[in-house]
Amino acid sequence: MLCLETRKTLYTSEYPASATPKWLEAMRHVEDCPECKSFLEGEKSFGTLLQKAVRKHGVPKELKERLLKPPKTHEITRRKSIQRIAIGVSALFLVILSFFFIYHKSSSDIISQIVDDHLQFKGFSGIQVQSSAPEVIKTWYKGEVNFPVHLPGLTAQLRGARCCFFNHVKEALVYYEYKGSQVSLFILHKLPEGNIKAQKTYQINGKQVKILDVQGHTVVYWQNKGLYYFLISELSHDEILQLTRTSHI
Amino acid sequence: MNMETLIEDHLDSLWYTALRLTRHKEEAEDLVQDTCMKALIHRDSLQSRSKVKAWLLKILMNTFLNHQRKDKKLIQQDIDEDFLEPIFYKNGHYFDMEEEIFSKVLDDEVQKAIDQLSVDFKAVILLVDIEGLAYREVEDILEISSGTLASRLYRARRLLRTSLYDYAQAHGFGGGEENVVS
Repeated sequence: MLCLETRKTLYTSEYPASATPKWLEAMRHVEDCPECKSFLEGEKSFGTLLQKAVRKHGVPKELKERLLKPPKTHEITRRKSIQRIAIGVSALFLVILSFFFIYHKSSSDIISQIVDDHLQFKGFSGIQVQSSAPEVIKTWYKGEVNFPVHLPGLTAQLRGARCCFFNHVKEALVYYEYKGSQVSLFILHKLPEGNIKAQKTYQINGKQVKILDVQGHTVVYWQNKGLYYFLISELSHDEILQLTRTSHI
Repeated sequence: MNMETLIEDHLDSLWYTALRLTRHKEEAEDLVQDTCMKALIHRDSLQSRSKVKAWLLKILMNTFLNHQRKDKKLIQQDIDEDFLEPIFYKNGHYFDMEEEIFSKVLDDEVQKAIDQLSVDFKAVILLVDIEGLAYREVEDILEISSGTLASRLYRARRLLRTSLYDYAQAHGFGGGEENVVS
């Protein structure tokens, strides 16, 4: 019998119920093979050393009493109830956290979306109401969004309007035309917390107006009557600033 | 001798095994308490009082493994071992394990090394080496073949040896040429 088979045989059957011929042959091999003998002794020795090294601390007295005393039914029920409540609270927390991450957008995300929406509805596409009369647009929004849309007096040609969604909230997008370019005015009644980081800030008509450069676009931002206004177009920085300055925002 | 006394006689073994399996005192306490309750309820299934330790450890192990299976934490790691590498041989040298490692590492490090093993390996080390159960008893407890037990025991011992050897070396004990018995 080879060393490999001997070791396998004796490793798998420490004390067989009956001595099989194979086991006997393995035992005879070990007697004549110092390597196999050393191998098997080493295995036993390791186990013994391990057992010795693991200092078994006895079970503390209090714990011993607790372990040996079976818990009363109401204690088990109470413990399980606490566990269930803990699991429930954790699950709820995870749901809230997931909801926050899925639905919460920072103000910088909103501005990126404004640029994206402006590009998506370029060429006055997706227009839902076509009119150059501010009153028509305001009246149309009354049935569409849940806030009163206040249109600023822009010195650009009003072309129409549509609705768009930000953070799953319906907001307003008003189309204008100025010097042959589309000007999109986004009017939001909700904005995530956090400052809008501006490249430049101006005072126009007593209002603080911020200018942002986003993805190659100039975005003008201001607040009025609790609403948030974002003006964007392909106009140059100076042109859009001129439009803002000459308008009654 | 009543069942409560029989359990008390082996409570240290149950506690230590539960502690190593769960690695948390509270979970270990729950596990031992469940085991004690089951043992009291199923006392009639104990065939021989001489086998009470293996019987209690089987209840404990089954309770733990059933919970593990529910949590899908159990990993099967059976490898066909070659049974050629002597246990006191590493990195091309024979060494005196007791002198070089076991006498130098702290008990806590041995516990940690055991804790780091996967459940399959940990179970065989705890039952065979620590609790000193016979192979046949362990095969019955874990419901595995003799070949599987041998494979897991061989591999688990070497994983433990490596952890302890690495620890001893990291702390400047053994492993050096001058300490090696070649």
